[in-house]
Amino acid sequence: MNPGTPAAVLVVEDSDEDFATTADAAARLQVPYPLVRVLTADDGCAALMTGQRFRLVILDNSLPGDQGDLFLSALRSHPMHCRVPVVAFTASGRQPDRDVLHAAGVNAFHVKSVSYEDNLWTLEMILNYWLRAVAD
Amino acid sequence: METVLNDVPWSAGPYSIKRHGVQIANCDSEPVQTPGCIQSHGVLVAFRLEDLEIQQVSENVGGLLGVEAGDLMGKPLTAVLGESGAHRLKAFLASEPIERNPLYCQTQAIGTAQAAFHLIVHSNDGVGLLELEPSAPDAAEPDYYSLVKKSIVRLQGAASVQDFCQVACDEVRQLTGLDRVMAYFFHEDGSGEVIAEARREDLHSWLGLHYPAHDIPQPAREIFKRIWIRPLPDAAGALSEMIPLANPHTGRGLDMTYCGLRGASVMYTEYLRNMGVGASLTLSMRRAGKLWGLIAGHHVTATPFPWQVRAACELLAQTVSLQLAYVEEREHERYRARMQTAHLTALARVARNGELSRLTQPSPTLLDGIQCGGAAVYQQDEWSTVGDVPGSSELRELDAWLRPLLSSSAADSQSLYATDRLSEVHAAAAGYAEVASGLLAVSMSKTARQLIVWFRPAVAQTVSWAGNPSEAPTVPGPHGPRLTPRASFALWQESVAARSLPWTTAEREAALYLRTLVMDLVVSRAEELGALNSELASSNEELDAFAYVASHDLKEPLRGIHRHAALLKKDIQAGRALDTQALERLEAVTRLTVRMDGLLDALLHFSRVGRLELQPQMEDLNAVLVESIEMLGTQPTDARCAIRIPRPLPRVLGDRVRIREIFTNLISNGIKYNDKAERWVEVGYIEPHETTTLLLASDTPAVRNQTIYYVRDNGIGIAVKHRAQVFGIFKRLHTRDAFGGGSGAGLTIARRLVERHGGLLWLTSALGQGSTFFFTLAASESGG
Repeated sequence: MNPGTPAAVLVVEDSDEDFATTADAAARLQVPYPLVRVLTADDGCAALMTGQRFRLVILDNSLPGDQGDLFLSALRSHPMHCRVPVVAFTASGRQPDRDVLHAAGVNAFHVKSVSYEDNLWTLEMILNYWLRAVAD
Repeated sequence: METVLNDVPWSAGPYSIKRHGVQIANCDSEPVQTPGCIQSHGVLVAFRLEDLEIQQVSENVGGLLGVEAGDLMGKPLTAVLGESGAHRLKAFLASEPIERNPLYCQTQAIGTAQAAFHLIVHSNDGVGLLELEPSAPDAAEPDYYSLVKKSIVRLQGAASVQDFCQVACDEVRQLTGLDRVMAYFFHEDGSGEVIAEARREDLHSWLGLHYPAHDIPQPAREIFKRIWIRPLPDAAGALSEMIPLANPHTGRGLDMTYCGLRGASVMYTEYLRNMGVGASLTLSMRRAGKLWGLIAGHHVTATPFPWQVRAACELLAQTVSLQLAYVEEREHERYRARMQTAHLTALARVARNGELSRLTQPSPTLLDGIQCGGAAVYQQDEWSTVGDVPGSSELRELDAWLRPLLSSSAADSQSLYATDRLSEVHAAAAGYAEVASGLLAVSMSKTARQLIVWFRPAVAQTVSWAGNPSEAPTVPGPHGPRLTPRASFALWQESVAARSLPWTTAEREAALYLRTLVMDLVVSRAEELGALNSELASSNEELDAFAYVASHDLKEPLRGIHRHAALLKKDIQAGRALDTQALERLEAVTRLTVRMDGLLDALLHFSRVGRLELQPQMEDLNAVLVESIEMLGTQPTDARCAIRIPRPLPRVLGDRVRIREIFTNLISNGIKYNDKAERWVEVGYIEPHETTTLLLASDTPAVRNQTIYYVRDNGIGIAVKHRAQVFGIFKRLHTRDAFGGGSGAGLTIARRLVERHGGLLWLTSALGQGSTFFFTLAASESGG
């Protein structure tokens, strides 16, 4: 653990295009935290073990291999990361998918749109709210 | 019978119609077999069989033969017939089967006037009975043999019981020349009905006349079970008493059961006179030892029935009785077939949607099956009806009353209730007796939640005999107008008020059979619905997965396209020149559309695979495998990956194109997900009962007696937790660009294809060492 290391925003996202949109939103808001991207739940779990602190996690649930909820459960049971806000930003808004994530302890749930502008706006709201409005 | 006899006027000694007569009240006790009297147109002589000694003679012997009865008593028959006549008779008695079987013996001139008499003789329990009937003046005798032969041919051609009886009436009338010949049919309750009639044009029809059971008293019915013919040539004729009244041999009245001359009951002759009938000839119709009915001939005036006519009629009556069973059985068979056809046709409609109400419309309905006036079906708290039925509130009330009678057991006998007099067992039904005097009900379930009820109107309702009131006698006999068809019909109507035709055994059986069919149908429909439901549930799940795929996997490239387009637009709006970055965006859009196209293709293919009809043939799997390897662009000797085939594959029944696709999918996976320097994929099979280390018991589904095919690789393997997921559509275990990418539909489609063949697809794997995919190509044997 290295408290001196600056916190980051962890983005669990397998789609390059979707990650790029997240990066666009962060750039536009001039988010003062670096984005750390992982493509799978497995890689996300690995990221939890690096000692890196996270200020926020943006989680896509539909991932290759394990689904996002598996990573979320691992995070919530991790002493260092258990309080980190996790916001789902995912393609499927189906109730069963929501239920699984809520059971695993997600803080908020957002559904991806096809529209770039909409996604940008949603992501800016997420980043703005969780990084600025909500106390660390 | 003995106790009854004690109460009648003739209980003290032998009966004689002349001395005692009968009243309507005691005519059921009349000893019609020993009437003590004969019809006066002939002479009856009773003699001792051994020595032909005369024991009794009818009192009219003096008038007809010119010999006094007293002079004949105790004398041999030669006193009447002369030596030669008696001799011929004796020879006849010795050679012919005359016991209870009157036979014509000879015609000879007898008595002082030397008039010609026909001699008809039979024996009955040790007593000889000789009937002498005056021979009619010579007339051209018709050829009775040919007439009867023709009649029999016509009878054989009759199509129905009704038709048959009509033919019988026509033929008897033809033979006898009588004014009216009717066929009476006895119903189960003993009442009679005129079901066929042949008559003189100017007479009123009696067809459809019903009369109560007691109109033909029991003793008369008993006699008709024994004799075929009963002549009464002169209903108003005088009676001659036997002298002495009691037979000296037996000490009782003479048994005249088989005598043509037997005297008729005054009840009968009065009835005939009231009807204006001068002569009658009655034939019996019997079936299986029972009196089925009568053929009754009437003549307005007295008319003789010569023995030849009687013999011909007797033969006809016997033929009718022999044929009757066959004709009736054939008619019952037709009725049974009609009921069954109607029921099955109506049921076929029910089978389509499980609604019993389809039994009531459209045609054919329950009305076309069991004969009834109306029918009602109860299902799901609703009645559907056809024909004449009680009102809806009455049906509800009837249902409440019926239910306990039917619900006690599932046994056939208790699932049917039938009555032909509903208001007698259920008073509330009196109000609608005209539509529902008869009720036949079957329950379709233990709880009687489903009922089928047939209704029959009161039979009096269905029968209206038009009998002409003017036929009532102007001067009725001593018993008043009671002894007329009109009064009989009225009495019968009274006796059957609120009663329907009875439900026959065949009809009950048809109702129960319908019940069985409906219950089978209900059960199989429930099973069918269950199967449909689970099919529907699984296809709903598939649809759900489909929608999920559409929402996520197909939108993902769309989001990318949208993103690049939006950014490009912004650049242009900002006045930026189209530079390298813009070109990259356009290339990305192109790439994403291609990926989207691939996803859509895979999706459509998957959907088609679920529906397509397989075209299974015996195929050589080796050839199929070679084709699929060629399609992959990989030769077995390919340096990039070795395809191993340890032994030639067997022949198999399957769809060549689809099996090739299974191989292609599995082999390409084996090649793709492989990080070894020396990659290999092995294709082989395991025969039933072959031992192998490849199959791990814990991973193997229940497969019995089946050849198992496998595709094995030395690739990266699949973690246990992902083994189910790999078959999900578009589910990939690795990021998009790892291992050459792919849509993630290959295994989903392969499994679907295997399942379409009836087989199973499963896998075993060791992470980092390789995977083996197993599949079968036919349904597992039952019990496996």
